[in-house]
Amino acid sequence: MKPSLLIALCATMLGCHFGQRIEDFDVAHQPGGATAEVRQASGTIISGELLAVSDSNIIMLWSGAVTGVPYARTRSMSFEILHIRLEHGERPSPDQLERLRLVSRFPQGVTPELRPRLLATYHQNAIMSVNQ
Amino acid sequence: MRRSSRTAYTLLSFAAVVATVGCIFRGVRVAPVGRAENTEVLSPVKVHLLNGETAVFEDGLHIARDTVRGAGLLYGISQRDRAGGISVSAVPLDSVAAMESFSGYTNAPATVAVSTLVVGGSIVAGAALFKALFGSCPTIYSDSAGTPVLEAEGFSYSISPLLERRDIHRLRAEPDSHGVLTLDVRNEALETHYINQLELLSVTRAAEEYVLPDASEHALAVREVRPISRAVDRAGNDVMATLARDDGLVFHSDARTIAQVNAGDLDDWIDLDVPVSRGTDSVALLFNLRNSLLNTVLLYDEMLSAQGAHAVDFEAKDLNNIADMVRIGRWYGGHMGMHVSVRRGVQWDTVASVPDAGPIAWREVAAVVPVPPGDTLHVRLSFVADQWRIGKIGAAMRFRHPQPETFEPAAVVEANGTPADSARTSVATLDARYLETTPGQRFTLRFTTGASPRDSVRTFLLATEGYYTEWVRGSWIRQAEAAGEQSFAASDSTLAQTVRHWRDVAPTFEAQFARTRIATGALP
Repeated sequence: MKPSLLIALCATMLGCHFGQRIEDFDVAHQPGGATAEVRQASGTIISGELLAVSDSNIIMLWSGAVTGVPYARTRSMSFEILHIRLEHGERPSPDQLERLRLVSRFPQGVTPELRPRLLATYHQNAIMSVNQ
Repeated sequence: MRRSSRTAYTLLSFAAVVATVGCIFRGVRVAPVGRAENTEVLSPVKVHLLNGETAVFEDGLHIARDTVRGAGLLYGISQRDRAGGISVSAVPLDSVAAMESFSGYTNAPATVAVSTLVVGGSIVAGAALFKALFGSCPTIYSDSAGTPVLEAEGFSYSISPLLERRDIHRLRAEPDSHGVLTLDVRNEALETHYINQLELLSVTRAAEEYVLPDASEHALAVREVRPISRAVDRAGNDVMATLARDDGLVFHSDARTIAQVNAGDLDDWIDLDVPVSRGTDSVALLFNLRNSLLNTVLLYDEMLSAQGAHAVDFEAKDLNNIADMVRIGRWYGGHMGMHVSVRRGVQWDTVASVPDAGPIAWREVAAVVPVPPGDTLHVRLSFVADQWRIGKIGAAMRFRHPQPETFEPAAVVEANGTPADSARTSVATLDARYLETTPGQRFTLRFTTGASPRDSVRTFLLATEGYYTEWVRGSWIRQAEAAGEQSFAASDSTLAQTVRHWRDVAPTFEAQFARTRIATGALP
């Protein structure tokens, strides 16, 4: 088959629709937050549910533990659902921060009221740091 | 050709083909939900409680006073997946920490062209387009012995993907002897139409029943239709003779009412009396109506043309921004349409709203209203002054919501007679595929309904869903540059100004409107 025919066929089959559909946007339909993937300075990759975001760090559920991850201590941080990728300790822009907040488990943040309940649920006394 | 350059060629070619055949760009918007009373969201919403629990309302929610209401599932602090939620229908607002909504959108400005069809038709070229003043949405015609009969206009005020809506229209058209019902769909306006679905509904009814859509866009079968016994407008005119019969007399707002409109008092109203039997708990009010061109003036002269070149941005950005559209939509919905109230003692309770119908095709629509104790139902129809043209009002004492049989189009045929299978696929189901039409284009829909039943009668309705974008005229830009561009503010002052402007231009505008419909040629 000629490349041009193949291309035309592909374009037709694709239906020429790009982007996400709400039906496939899992965060809209389930209680959990988006998935965060973090590559630490050591090269280790950790992945888990995004619980909350702030100016200085994210809080995620990693390996069954509520874990704080400062932006400054990561090699990269990616949130595939929003196509956001932060490199070399980069902090999210205000716009990115707002978008991340809205797809996190707790957009209100880990408030003083919520914190003890959250930690008790995961049998922790304090939020774990990735460096620990 | 070397492999790397061949790969590059292939990628470039792919991009070119994609750009040529056209693409729909879509995405999901996530936005905070405010706490204002009567906030209504129709897309999925997540509600985060102060105690860490989360409620997911897949079909949206409504905020009534101090409570979030909807059909939701409540999850504990550690539940992540959708399984295992507990049903919840109400959440106190004071226990809510945050809410966000999720909605899909189609990026119309980024959409190059829909790939499914280039519909044949007579495109009116160049300057003629810019003289056109006609503004509406897809017009639907049937063929009556060679004469096109206007049946309906679809999604009249869906001027953005975020306002895409489904409406249904009673058809006079009947299937032919082979059981095929044929309709002609036209783009007669300076607009691009994005049609998501065209579906035929068939309601089997008893001989004494009459079928029409209700204000919630569902089929309603009514019987025992009685005339109203009194109708008086705000100016004190007895409008019974105008509204009691379909005799060509049409209600317009009184000039004195229009002249008195100001930002704090925009409305006209009609008070109706309907005789009812004691014990009746609800009736269906039946209307034959259409909008005046006031809505069109609002869209053209206030929303778009006054902004000049910025109207392009307004259509591309503001009308596709959820927060802006919620603001504009709330303002629009609060004023436009027809609000139906019933009197309980000295108080008027708003019980229904009849959505805007469009300014071209007369629409039959019903509103089901509760009946307080007594032998006379007192109804008030409120609306922005001169927004409606009303031909007839009646009341049905009995009604039911039937379950219609639905039909996808069996065929879509271009104006030159060529079958258009991809277009048929695009409009057959409610999904991410749209059929795009531009001014002057038309196509024919054929539905195979089968033979009529021998022991009953069928009424057909057409469901339309989609949206459209208005073309920004060159004259608007020139006029706005000369007069000074003004951004659009969704406010009561703007609406009052529009009504005053409408009062001045109505006669000329209506004449021009009728004159400048874009020709699409005769029915095939």
